[in-house]
Amino acid sequence: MVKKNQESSKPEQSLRRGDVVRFSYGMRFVTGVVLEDRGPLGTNKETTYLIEFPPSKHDSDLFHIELPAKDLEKLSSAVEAK
Amino acid sequence: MPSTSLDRWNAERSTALDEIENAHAMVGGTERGRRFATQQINFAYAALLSSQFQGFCRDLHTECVNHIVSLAFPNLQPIARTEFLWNRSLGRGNPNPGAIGTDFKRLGIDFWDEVYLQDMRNQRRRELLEELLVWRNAIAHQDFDSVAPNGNPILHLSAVRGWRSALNALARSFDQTMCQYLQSLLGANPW
Repeated sequence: MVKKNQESSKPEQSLRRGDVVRFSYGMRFVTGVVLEDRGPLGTNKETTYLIEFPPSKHDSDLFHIELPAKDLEKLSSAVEAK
Repeated sequence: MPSTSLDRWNAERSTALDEIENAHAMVGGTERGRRFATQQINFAYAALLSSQFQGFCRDLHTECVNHIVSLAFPNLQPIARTEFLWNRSLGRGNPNPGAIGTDFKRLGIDFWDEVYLQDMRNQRRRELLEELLVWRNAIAHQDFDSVAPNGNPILHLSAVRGWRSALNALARSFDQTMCQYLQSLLGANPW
């Protein structure tokens, strides 16, 4: 019997605009908000999301990053975050 | 094999543009009324063509960044991604040739030089892109001095079709240019 590859069978999480997510940024984790589903633009056609985030607690500027779904941990949904 | 960005240009983006073409064909009515309605549709067609091409260029840039960054150490990847995205022109303004060249140049390529090497007709296609953007700005700001100094702006469907044909060819050349560049940079076909 062929053993199923659990990693590849894991469904890609779907995120929506306004969802709050956490991701690794250098040696720490930061929290950001999903701005846009950019479509399957990842190296293996993974869905990529545009995220806006403050680089640190002391920054008023907001940074932007495009990350594949697998690198994002959803903390709260758009509706909950309101 | 094309990039996902080119696939999207040829599929969903093309479908959206076809819908405007269909709307143009379906406009009926009297001669004068029809002329006014089709003129507005041609304006909408030009504006949509510009925004869809901007979307394609932005998609292709993201796709290329994803391939380049994937070879970096995992902890470095998000930092590199943020740097490549910082102040990206294609995320804000029109897809003018200068903005396209600047954004892709940050990936280490003399973009337009390489695009011309793909096909010398791309020089003329770049001029057509610039022409489209002059019209796009005139339409968006309802200021037609730059395209009709005499005050009677008329945009023919054939002109928009010509721009679309040029952008189709440019999209293919952009895709091939970046495919070859990433292949030499990364040692494998990106798509």
